Amino acid sequence: MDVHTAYATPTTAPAQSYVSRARRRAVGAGALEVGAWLSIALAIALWLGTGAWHNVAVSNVLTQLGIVAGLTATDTCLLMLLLAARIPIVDAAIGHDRALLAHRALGFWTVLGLVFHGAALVIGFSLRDELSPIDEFTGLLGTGDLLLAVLSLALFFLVGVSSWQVARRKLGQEAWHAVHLLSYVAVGISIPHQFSQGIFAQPGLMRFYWASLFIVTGFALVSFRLVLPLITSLRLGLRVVDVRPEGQDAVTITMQGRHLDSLTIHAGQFCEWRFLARGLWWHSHPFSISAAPGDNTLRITVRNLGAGTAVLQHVQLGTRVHVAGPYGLFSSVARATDGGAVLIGAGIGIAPIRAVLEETSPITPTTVILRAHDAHELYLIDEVTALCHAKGAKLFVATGPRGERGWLPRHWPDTALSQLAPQTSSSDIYVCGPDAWMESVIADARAAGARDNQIHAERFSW
Amino acid sequence: MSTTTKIVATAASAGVLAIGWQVGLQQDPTLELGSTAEQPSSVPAATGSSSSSSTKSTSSTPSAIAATPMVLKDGTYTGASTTYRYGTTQVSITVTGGSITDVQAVYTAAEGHSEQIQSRAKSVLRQQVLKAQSAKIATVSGATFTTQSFTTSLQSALAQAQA
Repeated sequence: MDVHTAYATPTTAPAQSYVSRARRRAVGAGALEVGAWLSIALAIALWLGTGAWHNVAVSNVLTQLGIVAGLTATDTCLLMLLLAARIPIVDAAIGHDRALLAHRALGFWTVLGLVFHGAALVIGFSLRDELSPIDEFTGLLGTGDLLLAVLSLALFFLVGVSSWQVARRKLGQEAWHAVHLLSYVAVGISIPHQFSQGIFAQPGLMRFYWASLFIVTGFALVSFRLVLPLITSLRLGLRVVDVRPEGQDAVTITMQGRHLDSLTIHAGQFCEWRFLARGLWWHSHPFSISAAPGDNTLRITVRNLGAGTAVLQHVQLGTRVHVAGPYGLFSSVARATDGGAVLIGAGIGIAPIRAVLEETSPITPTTVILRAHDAHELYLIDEVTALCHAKGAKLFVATGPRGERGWLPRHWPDTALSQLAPQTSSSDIYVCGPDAWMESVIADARAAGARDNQIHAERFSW
Repeated sequence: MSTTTKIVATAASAGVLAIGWQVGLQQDPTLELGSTAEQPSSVPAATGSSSSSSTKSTSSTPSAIAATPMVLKDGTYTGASTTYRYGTTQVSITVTGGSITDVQAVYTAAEGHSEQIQSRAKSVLRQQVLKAQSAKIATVSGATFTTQSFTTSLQSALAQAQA
């Protein structure tokens, strides 16, 4: 019971502030959404302001539709870059997961918009010039920066296809990432044609607006994706100090550094880790902190899931680590209720669940549910059990193959989340595991009466 | 997305679009050459750029021209060669009996597409000058830059003829 008394004073903020903080976060998220829609409206409004729509000849209507599609797609593309820039206020308002979902949803429309933009302009011009679309296209190719623009469209298309679920799984994270980096090239080489012969060629409000958007986006990317992580990494000077096997196919990597207290990191959040060793330095991976940070150490638990994570199983002691983050709302920071906590993790998804549990106050009614196909996939089970004892949390361990529906094992038929954790409707629910499984848990949590803002889900698929 | 967010986003976007529409209404519709008697059709636009640029570049109406007749000496005058984004233009005019009787222009194009545009704009520009008897000509829709460059060279030729 010694441990229990040590946690008697709640280490987290007083319960009342969770609700008000959640409300503030919701306002912030709403403002971001309004801003995003407004930027699209502005893009179209500036075009409306040119009066180019007065001419209703078929060729001009097509051309103008193509221009509007291009403007909208450029705007959504910049929004995608801003979502990928990991801007701290955006991350604090909507979290990394929602940012990524929005990024993906916009990706489809951006590529579609750009393809339409190209096609509509070529056909519109060909009608006007009374040329065949092919002659028009070859003629346009010779014009200034349009060759670059066509290349850019091809790259956008390639990046879009490679990000399609099926293709992504086939490619693997490292190859997908390499292709995805091409989107920076795609954006870059599309800029000249927009300002040299495109609609922003004329000085005026329109050119000012778009140039500003491009500059702000570029600045955000460079600051938050490159400069800030570099400064953090240099200041922390993290090195691997311990590598411990965890179950059959996972390792817990402990890193030590300086000034770790200056890093406001909450257990359950994740960082992008880059191990500066031969064969590892060129790819980074997102891993959750698997223990509340302390004593100038950080800890992650990594399962062998692919080419990149396989090498990580044998990382040398003393290896320098470059870190970007912390990111995400999967921590006590994201709490939206003053009620209990329900922590549900599957497989390696147990690692962030363990971390959140560690930061949960013992006065919070807590239920922990661990899920695995078989017992050796119950990573960190001993630590979770010990923490549950210390916090007075209820622990369910559910192993076995999944049933036809639901997220629990086949031999637990007709068991609902509300039975395992009666406090679900008034609690914060944290879920981490494979995508399809999480969907099933989330559906069950909703059925139990939980609202969306109470449900915190972390996907570790990329 | 919460209901409040939806309402605010919709209202704000609608407002912005309405302002854009209003501004667009004030803009002169693209000056189509179809409005002048002898030019039944418009001339193609240069590239994507023309859609906005041609709307903004309004030029004097032909009626303004008659008010200020110029005194021109007979002869042939060649204007300065003007270089612009898509090539160069050099205009020569022939003045007989105090009026412009012929307009010749030498164009060079940076590439094929511009050449197409220049060749289509060429006769329209020529006939406009013959009709207007001055450099006050309407911008050829879709050939804004070609027109600007043509006008600049034409003005320098006219200046020589007036001297």
